[in-house]
Amino acid sequence: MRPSKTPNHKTGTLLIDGPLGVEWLVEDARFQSIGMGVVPATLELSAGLYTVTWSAAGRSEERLVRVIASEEIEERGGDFSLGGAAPSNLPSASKLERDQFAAVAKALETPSPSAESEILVLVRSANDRPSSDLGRSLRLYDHDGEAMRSKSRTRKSGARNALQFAVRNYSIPTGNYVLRYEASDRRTLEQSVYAFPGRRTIVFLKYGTSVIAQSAGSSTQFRRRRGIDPSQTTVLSTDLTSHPDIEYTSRLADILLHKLATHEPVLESVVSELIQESGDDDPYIKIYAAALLLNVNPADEGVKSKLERSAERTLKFLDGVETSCPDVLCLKCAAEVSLGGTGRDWIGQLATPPMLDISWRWAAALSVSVPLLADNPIFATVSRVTQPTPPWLTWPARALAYGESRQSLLRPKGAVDDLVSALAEKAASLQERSQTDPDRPTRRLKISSSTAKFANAAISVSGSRSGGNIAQQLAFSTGSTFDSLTEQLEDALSEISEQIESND
Amino acid sequence: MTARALVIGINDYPLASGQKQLGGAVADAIDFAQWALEPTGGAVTANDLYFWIHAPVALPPTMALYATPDRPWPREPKPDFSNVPLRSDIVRAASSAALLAADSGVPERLYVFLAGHGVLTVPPGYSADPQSCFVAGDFDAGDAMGLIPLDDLRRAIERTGPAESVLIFDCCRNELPPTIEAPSLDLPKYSPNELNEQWMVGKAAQEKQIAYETTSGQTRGAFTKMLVQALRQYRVDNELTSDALKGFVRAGVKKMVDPKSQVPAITTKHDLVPFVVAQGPVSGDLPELRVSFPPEVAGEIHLLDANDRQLGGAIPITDSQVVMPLEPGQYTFKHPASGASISFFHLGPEPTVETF
Repeated sequence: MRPSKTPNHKTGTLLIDGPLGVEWLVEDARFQSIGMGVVPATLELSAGLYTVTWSAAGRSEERLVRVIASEEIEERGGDFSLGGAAPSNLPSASKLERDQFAAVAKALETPSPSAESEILVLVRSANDRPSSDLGRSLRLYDHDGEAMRSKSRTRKSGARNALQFAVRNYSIPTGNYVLRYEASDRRTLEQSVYAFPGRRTIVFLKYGTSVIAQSAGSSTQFRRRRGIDPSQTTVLSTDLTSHPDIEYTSRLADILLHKLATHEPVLESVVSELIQESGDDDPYIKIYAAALLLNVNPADEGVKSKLERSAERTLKFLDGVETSCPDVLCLKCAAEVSLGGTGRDWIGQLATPPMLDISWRWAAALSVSVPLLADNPIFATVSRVTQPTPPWLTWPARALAYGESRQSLLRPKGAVDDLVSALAEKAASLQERSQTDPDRPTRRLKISSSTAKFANAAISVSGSRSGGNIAQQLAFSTGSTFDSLTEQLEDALSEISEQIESND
Repeated sequence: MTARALVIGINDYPLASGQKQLGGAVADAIDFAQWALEPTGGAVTANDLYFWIHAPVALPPTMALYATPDRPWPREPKPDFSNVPLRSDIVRAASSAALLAADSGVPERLYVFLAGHGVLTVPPGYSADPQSCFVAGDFDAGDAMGLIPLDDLRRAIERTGPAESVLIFDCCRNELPPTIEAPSLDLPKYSPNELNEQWMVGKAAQEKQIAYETTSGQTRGAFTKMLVQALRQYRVDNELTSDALKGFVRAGVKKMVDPKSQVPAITTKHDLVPFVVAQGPVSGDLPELRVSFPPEVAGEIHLLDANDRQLGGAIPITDSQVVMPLEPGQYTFKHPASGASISFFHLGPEPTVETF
């Protein structure tokens, strides 16, 4: 019995449905893609078997579906828990997760009409069995570095904290804050959080496990360490006076943040449709949508026209959202410059680091032509980050604030270009020297992560055919502001030169 | 087109590497090598297969030659099953194979198959992508020795030649801490001729994901088990393209590792130009389909193909079941009396068991 080769000429109708934001893909029996989009969708298909995949935030569900001639069938999928920091109440979520969701809903039950703003930090573990208070390492600081005091704390730990969940609640003035915590790789990290007026900002953190390499005598051992996974954070906000249903908004936030983190291609129409259909007033959702539209390298000449179209939509999304929020400032400035503006209105306006990695990289790229940054030593620290945690911008805790920030209205680009060329040449030369005949052992390069980061970037930028400003490309790809670039390039060049000399 | 192959499978890693023992990498290597040697399969001649497994196991009769000291392969290093292949062994063998293929004077295809442990090195900053690496026998996590960067390997082979290359890596892609730097590949960076027209790379899992072994029957890597099954028995219009292979393997692995998740990553040099990975008749026994029926579903059943057309005549339900060998594909069983139906993937190589 041989299967038939030609499609059936009789057709049927397939209706594909799912929760907001879920994408669908249909493949025929030869595994050829015949359509994709965002639910809901109606397809007229030849009778036969098709594979329908629903996906969102890196999770997916697949089903074999039979289309019958002259009949209409409806298939719903995508009702799966996204597994992010925000818990879900879906039937498909684990019992622990649903209990955590109930605990979150309870924590949000009490409206706070008298507070100007609130920040609620919720840490949950997806059964990583933490042995101590999950919230132990959490701290919140204002822009002066003063620690904020939480209104509520969970009981301390362990076996009694069966929910594997901790909450910290801060009533605070509107403005920018810094959240500090111990990450799962044992680093103490900080990141910005903004408190909008009349809103409760909810920060969901996920406690997880990561593997750390540690020296053990003559060998290396991999040890499991527990802490907060910085890349899985979800942030959203609700009105202070209402009882919000966060399942919907947190799901939308997770989908948008996942796309930001993974640089998944996303159609502008899809983002607009999502925001429009959600009817969400959450400024965080608007910021994520705007960031998604600008999630490209501004120095790449090839994306210029796309950027112009996206920039207009970005400004619409951010219309009415407070520009005192650093992300809004960065993204608005980026949009205006992409549309041909000078950005001069924003000089010195960025006082604190933004929350999103892409917002910071835009600020770094813009700093080549616009001195956007105010005087704040933290920018030098952020410029030296070598372990990005997209979609978020995080940096090592401020105890090691690195040097002073320097603001200069002069933007001599030639110096940076020369340094980039010199670094690219030397780094390539060092790599060549380290290539040996396969019969001899390879020499190990002993350079710092920061030098490696700049060397890789310099080689990449020098070899790039995308055109555009080299300094801006480098700033975007390394996340270093213009004022830090020269110093870091010089440091990298010096270290590479020493390596070359010591290898000779 | 002539072909040659480099096939490595490592189950047993030295203690110092910190890697746990595997159960299926050697069996995977044997299975792939057997297909490669089949005239209707990879069409690789005995002298053009470089084959190294560790630890040694009894080889099937068609491959017994490779367990002897007279094993074919004209170049160094000679495989030694009693020792685990080191990074330099594998890289030199790959380079040698690519050069032989490029210098042969005729268009050739090179197969590179590596089964064992794998990791993902994450470079600092934004400019360089994470790199999947195969873990060789001399892996030392302290200073990243013993890692073979697979994307760089693909590029090196592409630059050297031959006309087509098929690289299969059945290993995990667990992310290493950023303190472990990405390795360099000790092969010449420049080649006078870039002869490659098409390549395909198959990785067992997505970035940062685990590649699972299945213990149904013999312990095997789920990815290789389905990949070789597709190469042997899945054809669309008498050929197997990379697109069809990707869909087949994805569906098969999903079923095999369920409820865990593993999504293979198969990419080609040119997305719009179909890459024919295999063609011609299928080989081996067709996988068996076993469907059981509740008592109320009796009499006869119709088998429909993926285009919803009936295949052959009505099939009698005997003792509440239907058992039959069937070519891999997607099918529907329809009970004409009640109108009820079930649709399913039938991929093999294990029997497909369904309940109506």
